[in-house]
Amino acid sequence: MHCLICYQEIDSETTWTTIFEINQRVLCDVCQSRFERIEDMSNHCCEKCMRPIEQSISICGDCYAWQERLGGKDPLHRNVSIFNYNSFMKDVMALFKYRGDYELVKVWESDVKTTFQKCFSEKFTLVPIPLSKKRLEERGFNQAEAIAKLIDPNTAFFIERTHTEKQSKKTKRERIFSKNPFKLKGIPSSHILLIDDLYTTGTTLRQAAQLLIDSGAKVVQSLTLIRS
Amino acid sequence: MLGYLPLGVGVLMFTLLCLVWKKKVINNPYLFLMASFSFLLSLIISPNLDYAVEDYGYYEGAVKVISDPEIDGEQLKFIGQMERQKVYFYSNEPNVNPHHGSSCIVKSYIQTPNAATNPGQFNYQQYLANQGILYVSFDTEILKCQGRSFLSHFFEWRYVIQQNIINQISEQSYAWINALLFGQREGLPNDIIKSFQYWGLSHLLAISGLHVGIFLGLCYVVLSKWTRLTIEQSKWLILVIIPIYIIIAGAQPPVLRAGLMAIFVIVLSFMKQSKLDVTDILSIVFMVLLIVDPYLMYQLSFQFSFAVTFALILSRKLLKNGSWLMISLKVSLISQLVILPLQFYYFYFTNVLSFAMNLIYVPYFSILVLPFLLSITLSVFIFPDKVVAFLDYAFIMIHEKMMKVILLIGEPSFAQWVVGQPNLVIMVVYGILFLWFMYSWEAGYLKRAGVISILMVGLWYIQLGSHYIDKSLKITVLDVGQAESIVIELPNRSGIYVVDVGEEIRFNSGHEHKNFNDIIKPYLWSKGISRIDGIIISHYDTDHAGSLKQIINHFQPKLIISHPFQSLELSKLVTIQEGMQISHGDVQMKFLSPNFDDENHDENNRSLVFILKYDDFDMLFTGDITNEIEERIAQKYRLDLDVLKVAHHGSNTSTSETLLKETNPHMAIISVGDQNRYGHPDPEVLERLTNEGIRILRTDEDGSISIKYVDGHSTLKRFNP
Repeated sequence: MHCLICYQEIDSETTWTTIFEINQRVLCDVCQSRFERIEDMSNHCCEKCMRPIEQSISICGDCYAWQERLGGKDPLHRNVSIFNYNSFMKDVMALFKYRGDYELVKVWESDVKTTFQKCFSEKFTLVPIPLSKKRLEERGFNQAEAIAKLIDPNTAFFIERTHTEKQSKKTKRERIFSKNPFKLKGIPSSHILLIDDLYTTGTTLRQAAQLLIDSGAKVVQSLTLIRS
Repeated sequence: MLGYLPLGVGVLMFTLLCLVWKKKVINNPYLFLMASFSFLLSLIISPNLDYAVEDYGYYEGAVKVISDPEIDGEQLKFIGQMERQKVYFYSNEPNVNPHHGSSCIVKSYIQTPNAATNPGQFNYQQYLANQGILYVSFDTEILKCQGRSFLSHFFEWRYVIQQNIINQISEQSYAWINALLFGQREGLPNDIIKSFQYWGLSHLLAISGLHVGIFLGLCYVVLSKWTRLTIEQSKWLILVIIPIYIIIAGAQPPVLRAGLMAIFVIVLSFMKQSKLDVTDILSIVFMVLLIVDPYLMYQLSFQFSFAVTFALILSRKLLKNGSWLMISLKVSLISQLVILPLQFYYFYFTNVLSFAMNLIYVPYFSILVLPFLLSITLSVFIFPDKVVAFLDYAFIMIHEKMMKVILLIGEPSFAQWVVGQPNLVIMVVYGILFLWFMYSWEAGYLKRAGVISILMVGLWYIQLGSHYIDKSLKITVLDVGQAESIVIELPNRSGIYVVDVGEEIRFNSGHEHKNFNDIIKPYLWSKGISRIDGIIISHYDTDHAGSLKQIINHFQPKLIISHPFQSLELSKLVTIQEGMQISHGDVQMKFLSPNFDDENHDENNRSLVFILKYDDFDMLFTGDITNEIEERIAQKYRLDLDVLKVAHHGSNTSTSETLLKETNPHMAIISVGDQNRYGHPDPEVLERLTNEGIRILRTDEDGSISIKYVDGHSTLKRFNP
């Protein structure tokens, strides 16, 4: 077996820690160690969005600003992220999203699964953030859907997206005040878990959450692979 | 035996695995099919471990020799296939020499092997049954033999090599060469074998996987560095050497394991594509060996060898870094931990300092002894006699000193930890804790590993502690042949007394303390007893006191109790006579004889006689007294007995009608040897007992006899049901 990222042969020695491991390893030790898990690097994070912050405060400035702006009615109840957006992660994401290496999603499989089991329960319906038709054609797959399918292979879309500029091409201000690009496709269940690859400002997730809350969902949370 | 338990456990484990690894099973249907197939296969080829109930009887007919016949002095031994049975044949001074694969005509009486008759005792019958052999024949007459197998030529070749060596070197060196290169350790001194066993070094006396590794490593270095062969050619040559080496080394399980693994590794190194983990190779070798001979599973060396190898392979990460000393210590520790349950199960004890001894003797044997012996062996065939003699001399010089050291250290009791035969549940729990411990250690959770290791040690104290909540009084009359030894275990382990440690009187020396070593000590150890409160010696005849010194040395009794008419220099000796009493909690031992006037009597009539009283239970211990003393006691004390230990092995001079009428026992126990020369127990004694309606129990027929008294009820357990 070769490492999915660096193609080096993975040292597959069976030892006491791996003897009960049934999943084939997909990463070598070096690549594995270059991902930074938020859990491992800081022991205090924003309760709402998981951004690492000082010990003395409970929520970060951005989340505080969101609450102010939305008058205390933040549609996104909480966000859980797994990895930090370090340069290695940026490179891997570029390979994954823009170079279309779909297989790379397996790299995060066990982390996504265990985080879901730890932080959420089965009553949540998974809702991956959709791409617009044009963007989907460009990329060939939806990265949020790929991540959601790690947890539940039967994940379907509840919402769809009208085409807008790529988020990464906008300024922070443009992103926060942009128009809600999502449309509802069905009737949502009461507990919704939004799935996406990145949490940057949280605008996209909140737009989707707002739509779902307005249509009758009670709790909307999100699981994102990376907190940038 | 275990009945359906192994099958049940097997099915349970298999279902559990399927459930836990559901996904794996679905994704790899072939793996699942393979697993199911091997499981079914294991049901079909599982060995049959039933015993033969009766002797086979007189047999004259054909037998096929299926082992390499061994010659031990004047005696020839081999395993023969007779009709559908495997039989272990012994033949004294045979006229014909059979080979492996010969068809012979034999004349012999074929009988069942000796079974154990005491708890904790080595069971020869089971030992043979575990190899699929149900019968033995001790005095076989071999009429004629013909034919031989292809393999027998290798065995003969091996024999010729051995004869060549034996003619040129000293007996001492040869014994070691024979053990370490040919896998036959019969020639080694008994005290060294015992000492090595005590210190957990036995693996060094047999050919272990380590030896095979060293041997093949040396071969490889010599071939690839010192000859003009390419690496590939050397590998091919080694592939040819390994099977020959396996045969020469006697094909014991560890040699088979290591040899087959080496073959696999070399063959795989030729195929660059496929990469198999060492654990896979070990598992494949494990399965192949078991499919060829499922009885291997019951061999101690097979179990130990695979357990240790598997554990060490899984510990590769832990053993990668560190100084030589640290790595050696870790190897010792891991090996000891993994075999601990097996060690307790088979030997009832472990040596807590074994790792230190291993630290000294493993390198000594690997670096010095083995290469030395190999070069002596080679020089016998290459160099002139003088070189051989010099090497021989040098080896003995060094080796004798190293062996003297271990013999001098002896068997100090602070190094031994006696736990007894462990409960199955405790062994399983230990296994789980061990896995968890190794996982935590490797993952770097050292604190957690520390806590688990304390639990792992504590578990064995639970095993030991189970005796302390057993509130019954137990009296066990051991079957020690024409001698006597009785163990009294007081309620809640508040005390342990041993009454007599007799040895059978033998005319061939070398087995002076057979009862002690083979029966009394194993019995006590299997019950987790390593110290006793008192040893009561009824009188000083060999059949009652033969191993007094041994029990004092090994079990450090607080009191040594005996009659006053023998001058002995023993520091803890307490001499006792009529009227004295020992109380231990609610248990009383009241001594009824001898009195001062008995000094003039013979040794038998000086015997200590006492009554053991607990609650409602009364048992009389009589030593070897005769009618005269019996009647004196019966008349002086109004006794109402539950159990009478019949005096003097059931001799007609004791156990008079008066005694029986006066004391009124329900049960009489006779400690007597099977077919002894004295004709004990006397038919008249048996008649007197029967006439009084007393139940007779005798060690020659019932094996050890154990009485358990708890809450006013006594239960009887005979070893041979």
